[in-house]
Amino acid sequence: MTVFTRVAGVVIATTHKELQIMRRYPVAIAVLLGWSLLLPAAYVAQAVGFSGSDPAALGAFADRAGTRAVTAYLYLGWAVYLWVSLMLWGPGLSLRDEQLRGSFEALFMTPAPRASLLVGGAPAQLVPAMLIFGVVAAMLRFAFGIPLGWLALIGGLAVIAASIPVLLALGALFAVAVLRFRDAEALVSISRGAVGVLCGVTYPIAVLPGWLRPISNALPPTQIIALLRTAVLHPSSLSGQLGRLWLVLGMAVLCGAVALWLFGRALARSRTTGRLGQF
Amino acid sequence: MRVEVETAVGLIPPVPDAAAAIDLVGLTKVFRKARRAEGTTVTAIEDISLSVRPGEVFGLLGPNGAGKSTTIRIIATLLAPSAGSVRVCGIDALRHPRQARQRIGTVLGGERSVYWKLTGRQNLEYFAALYGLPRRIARERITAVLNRFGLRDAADDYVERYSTGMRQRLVIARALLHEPVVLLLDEPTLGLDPRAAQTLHECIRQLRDSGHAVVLTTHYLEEADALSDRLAIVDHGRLVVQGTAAELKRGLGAVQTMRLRLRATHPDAVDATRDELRQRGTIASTEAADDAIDLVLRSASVDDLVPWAIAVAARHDVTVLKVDVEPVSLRDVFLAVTGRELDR
Amino acid sequence: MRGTSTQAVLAVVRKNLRTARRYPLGTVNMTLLTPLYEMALPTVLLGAAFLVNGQASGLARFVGSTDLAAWLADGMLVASLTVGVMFAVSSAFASDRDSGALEHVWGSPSRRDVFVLGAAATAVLYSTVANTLLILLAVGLLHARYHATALLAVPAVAVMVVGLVGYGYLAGSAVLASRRTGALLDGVGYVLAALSGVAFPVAVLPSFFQVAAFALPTTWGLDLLRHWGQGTVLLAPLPAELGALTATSLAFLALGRWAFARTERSLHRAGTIYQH
Repeated sequence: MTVFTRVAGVVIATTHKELQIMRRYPVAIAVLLGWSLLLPAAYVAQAVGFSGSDPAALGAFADRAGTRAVTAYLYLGWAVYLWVSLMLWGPGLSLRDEQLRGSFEALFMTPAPRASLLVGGAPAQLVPAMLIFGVVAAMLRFAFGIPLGWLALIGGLAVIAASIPVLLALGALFAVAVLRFRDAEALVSISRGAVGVLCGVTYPIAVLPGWLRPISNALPPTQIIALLRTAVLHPSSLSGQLGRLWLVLGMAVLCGAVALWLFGRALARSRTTGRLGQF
Repeated sequence: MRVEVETAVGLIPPVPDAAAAIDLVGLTKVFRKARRAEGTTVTAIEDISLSVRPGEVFGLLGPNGAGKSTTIRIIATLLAPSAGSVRVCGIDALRHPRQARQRIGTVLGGERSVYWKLTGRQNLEYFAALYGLPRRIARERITAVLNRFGLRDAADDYVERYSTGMRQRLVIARALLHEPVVLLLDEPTLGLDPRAAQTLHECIRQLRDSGHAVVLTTHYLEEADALSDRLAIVDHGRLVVQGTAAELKRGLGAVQTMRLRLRATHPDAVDATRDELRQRGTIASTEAADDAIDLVLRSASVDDLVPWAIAVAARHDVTVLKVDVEPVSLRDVFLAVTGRELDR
Repeated sequence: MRGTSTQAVLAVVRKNLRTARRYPLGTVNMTLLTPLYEMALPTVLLGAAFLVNGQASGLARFVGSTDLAAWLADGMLVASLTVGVMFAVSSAFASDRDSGALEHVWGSPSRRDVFVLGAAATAVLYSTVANTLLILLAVGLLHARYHATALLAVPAVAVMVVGLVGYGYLAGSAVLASRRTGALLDGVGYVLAALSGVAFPVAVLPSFFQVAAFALPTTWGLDLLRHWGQGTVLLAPLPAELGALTATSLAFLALGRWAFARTERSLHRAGTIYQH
């Protein structure tokens, strides 16, 4: 059995386990879908309040964001934010759950490749993620009358697929943080906040101070949000965004390599300190 | 480690000697089953009556699910009974629960019921405030209980660093802060190693000697036998029998119990053996075990019955695989009154 | 007995502060950073996208003020208080129940209200400190401006806090009645804050939601705070607003206490306080 098949086997088994658990909590999925509709609705209300139907204010937004479709702009940003939350923090917090339950050490006693345990649960998050995107697409099309042609849908799916590797890698990085720091929840929460603030979820990057924009652009979620908005709102322009796509894929390779290295070091340290199963 | 327990001057008036510290009459609790089993009920306890005096340890003995914890929580005013009355130091606990709680100290749920992120002293300060102790008196009481339970040196350490035994002592220290007359201990030695359990037993004896009325629930027969001045056996929600351990054992009409494991070539031989053994005692139970029969004989005879029992078995061509003889214990009492072993 | 209850409430606050000291990062995150990055900053940045020559001319059409930063800072204060009080009460009960401490604290002679009031007081303390910092940041970095009449808002906010205690009672009774409500309650807190107009003018809401907004003490408290702080246009004449604030605050307090007492009785009958 090659390393690849062993890793694949563990990932499939862990994903299956996560999906079985997910099936027991349909209310949680329903709540998540509810949030994917309600949260951006609050921001749409804010946008209405801030624009005051003033043509000058709406024009200012269009100049900065590149579109007048404020509702779609906000809903797409939030959909990506929720998806990023699922993929980034799902694996990390699931390891935290294992520590709290006391099953962490049992997990690592198995001969499964350690890296596969690190990311194993993440693919399961694609299920609620696709539900979110589906619900948001239906909302935009039928509630807000935003035209979504086949080009937009296919482009959107392509962007989502291209984003999976980098989000898996970032999720692995946060899982490493769980092993290293006791107050991991706070770290995860702060990181989630940073993504919400720096990645243009609710606003165009142009409003950020000049010195912050390079930092924002260096974050993978910023690129994913920009790509998805282009794919859905300006599908014909997506081909001009190939540079961003390659950047996202390159980030995946870099983040993945760093995550594996740090993970190895964290494991070695845990074996020395004996804190593998402690919280 | 010997733990000294003394009673400081309390804020709660003492109970007159003759009065019961706890008086339960006809206590019943029926739970409604939720959701799937709509409309069905579960009777947790039924018609339980007992009283406990100050300076006495009263044991509630029974298997898991017998109703011991339900009874304790009703006395603690955490659970309302469906019928019956509860008096604590003469106070109707159902009508005046807060006054009753002033007189009760509880140890429920064990070592996890303290705040692990606080120190031992901070835990006690918090509960002292909840019990309305004036600050000066709270400080004195906290110092006193920390000393008495050997926690003074660890008082300013976080509880998460305490051993299990230390946490259990802290829980008991907390229960005594307000000098209650009544102490309710729900399975207090669960999860403790034998040495820690022994220390706790000594502590409970000292609490009794200092005048507290202690109600102790347990499913450990040896613990109930060793600690209880009086005890009651609870099974399937009913109080089956109560009295001192000696009274309950005498009630069996036997002084020794013999446990035999027999193997016979044909069933008639076992029946014949059993019939002959009955000449000197009562067959308490017969159970099939693998390819043998386990038989319990209780006898009022003080003689050594082992040679006789072996001879009886031999006469009927039955092989004695194993024989144990011990004085009649609470285990036998439980078997006699409920028809089964405590752990089944 | 009243003195004993005050002592017990203060003991609850002290315990919460001591526990929070063990998790400094988590505490700072919860009280200061989370409101900042979950509400304040995304909203400010969205608002900035509509600025015309640095002025919130669109917002002024609704509320009569172009001072976006101050307007939002007031909203963050009320949002922080709302979510903070509900979270503090619900998480305190949930945490104590899960650890087994709940039946011991309820086994004490202290009134059960003490635990709601203690958790709410802790949340108000945290929110006051955190939002004072946020307001100073808004003034220093974003040129938020406050009129001298802002001090008149202090008693109004105090009356609003009475209503928030009602929210706390409701949150406490929900989490005690059912284990599954914990995560939902966070969302309810955010919805209540949103309906109160913390991040957008109540006028943009559909009429059905406006009716719900007007039933909340936080809507009136926030509107008065903004009126006295930034000179915004009131939703209703001043005497009516003061009356509405008082009436809704007392109504929520009464409703919350009623619900909590009911839950308490139900727990007492069912004995679920100690089931893990």
